[in-house]
Formats: sequence, structure tokens, C-alpha cells
Amino acid sequence: MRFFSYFSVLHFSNCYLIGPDGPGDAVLIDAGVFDEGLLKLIENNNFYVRWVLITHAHHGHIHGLQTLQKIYQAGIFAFDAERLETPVQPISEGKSPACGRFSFQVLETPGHSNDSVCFLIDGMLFTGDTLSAGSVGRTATGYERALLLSSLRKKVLSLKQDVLIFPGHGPPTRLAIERRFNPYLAEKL
Amino acid sequence: MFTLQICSVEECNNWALHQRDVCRTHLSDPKSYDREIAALLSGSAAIADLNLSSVALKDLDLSGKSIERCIFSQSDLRGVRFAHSRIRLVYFDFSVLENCSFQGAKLYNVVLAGARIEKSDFSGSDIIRCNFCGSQCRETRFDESDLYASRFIASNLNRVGFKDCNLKQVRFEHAQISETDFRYSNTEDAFFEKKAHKL
Repeated sequence: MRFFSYFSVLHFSNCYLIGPDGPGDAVLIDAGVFDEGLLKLIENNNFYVRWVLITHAHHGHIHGLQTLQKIYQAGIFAFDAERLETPVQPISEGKSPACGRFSFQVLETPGHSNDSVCFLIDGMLFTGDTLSAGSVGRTATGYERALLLSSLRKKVLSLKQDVLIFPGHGPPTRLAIERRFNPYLAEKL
Repeated sequence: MFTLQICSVEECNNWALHQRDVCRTHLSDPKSYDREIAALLSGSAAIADLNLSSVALKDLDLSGKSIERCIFSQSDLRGVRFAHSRIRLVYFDFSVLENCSFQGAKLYNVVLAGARIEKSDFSGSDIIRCNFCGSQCRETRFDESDLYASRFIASNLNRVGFKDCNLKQVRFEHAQISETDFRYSNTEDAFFEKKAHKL
């Protein structure tokens, strides 16, 4: 498998591309933007984006979907199908996305938004806005903050400490790093 | 893709190393492995998809190389030169970097969180969206570098140079900062908070 990250200055968000060693069908995780740079990354690697996984339906993570769908016939997977204006296949912890050879586990992590999920594949966790390096997702109320921290405690912090974390914003990190240095986790959990 | 296979020793959950089916803890001859890896890295212009956790490298010149999707976590790097290298999606977390040079390098999405960085030189580099959270940086220079969107949250910076740097979107919250030079840098575009992180 090959793995790439792509950063957009439009929403300061990351998306991630996972494809086979050779040409073939690839998975895009989040689509905050779909611009020339991302298109080049996909095409230069002879990938075809067959599946798109959405961590949550905030604008900075789905803005590129419409453009993407003009180019690729991709299956879109998200927790809450009704929040997107495009046909979506719903996913949950009991219903993982069918992405050919790529086997993702879904972790439901509400808090930053009600539809937030993380995707785990081969020791790599894609956290969207649930968790980033040294920080956690923004919340509007105390209830949402409590829900977010509960999601992190139950679903994320219980994973293997070596898990590599690829957030929706900011640099990559690792679970062991966040457990030790993330001020929000140190203070609240 | 990051090459992550579990160590073949029963009940060990660590990741196995490149060209081995065991982790560093279960290597029979770690020093010989370090020599093998030093030769491999020196002889390759492009290095990708290797797990080299806990490797010990000394006085090695890796200048001008392309290094992608590698794991050097918990490594001991002394006198290693990465000058003018292109380093992307590489983990150096919880490593020791002493007298290392990244001068003029291009670092994108590189993780140095929890690392102890001493007497090292990152000057004149692009250090874009890199993770230095919880790092202990001492007597290290980042002068004249672009640090866009990098994070030093909960780090400890002592006698560090950030002179004439781009600090747009750089986050220093919960960091302990002493004798550190931010002259000519756009600190107004960075995020600071005076509260020290209790470890």
C-alpha cells in the first residue's frame, strides 16, 4: 500500500490518500478541497479514487466532494448520511466501509460533532477533528466537551500506544505522544 | 505506507524492525543492526517506508537525501547530518538528537514530539506542519526558517534561536520558554500561552 497526506490552505485541513503499490483503486479520507494539487497527486500515482471516507460533515472536510464526484465515481461513506447533499453509504462501528482490499475499522467518537468518527487501518488512526497534536476538537458546550473527552477515553486512548495518528488539522502524531503531552488529555482525563 | 508488522516474539506487541521479524528489544545483536542500517542509509539517495525504531546512529552524513514515511522513534542520533534533505512524514518522536544538522532541509509533517534535541541546527529550513510537542530543545537554532503551522505545545525551549522565522500558525501553548530569541520573527502570528504544562 502507498500512503500520502495532502494539505489545503483553503480550510487548513488535511486529507489522506491510500492506494495500492501499483495503479488501482484508492481511498481518500476527507475531501476538504479538491484542487489541481490533489488531482495531480492522485493521477501521478495512477490511482482512481473509488472510495471516500468522511470523518465528519463539517465544511472543511467535505467541500471538495462535489468536484471530486465530477471526476471519479466514488462511493462516499459517512456516519450521518443526511448531513451531506450527495448519496452516502452510512457507516458505524458495526458497519465498516467496504473499500476492496482496504479494511478500515470505524470508531464512533461524537463530541466535536455528533457524526464524528475515526478510521483505523494497520496501526494508523485518522482522527478528523476529534484529536490533533497537542489539542482536541473544538466544542460549543460543556456537554459536547464531556462527550468528546469520553469518546477519546473509551475509544482512542485504549488503543495500542504505538498507533500513528493522522488528524484533520495540523501535523501527525502518535497515541503515546498525546497521552503524555496533550494538555487537554492530561488535565481532563 | 508505513511498514508496521508485529514482532514475532510471542506476547510482544512492538513493531518489527526493517529487514527483521523482531523489534529492537528482541534483536540478538543491536550494534550489528545499527551498522547495517547506517550502511543502508548512506548508500541510498531515497529512503522510504522503513521502521528503524531505537536505532543508534553516530556521525553519519545523510545530507541531500529524500526520506519519506520512516520511523526513527526512540532513536539515538548523534552528529547525524540531514542538511538539505527532503524529509516527509517521518517519526523521530522520543528520540535523542544531539549535534544534528537539518540546515537547509525541507521537513514536512515530521514528528519530533517528546524528543530531546540538543545543540542541533535547523536553520534556513522549511519546517512545515511539524510536531515538536513535548520536546526538550536546548541550544538549538531554527533561525531563518519557515515553521508554518508547526506545534511546540508543552515543549521546553531553553536557549533556542527562532531569529527571523516565519511563525504563522505556530503553536507554543503550555511551553516553557527561557533564553529564547524570537527577534525579527512574526510572533504576533503564533499562539502563546504562559501556563506551564504539568507533566
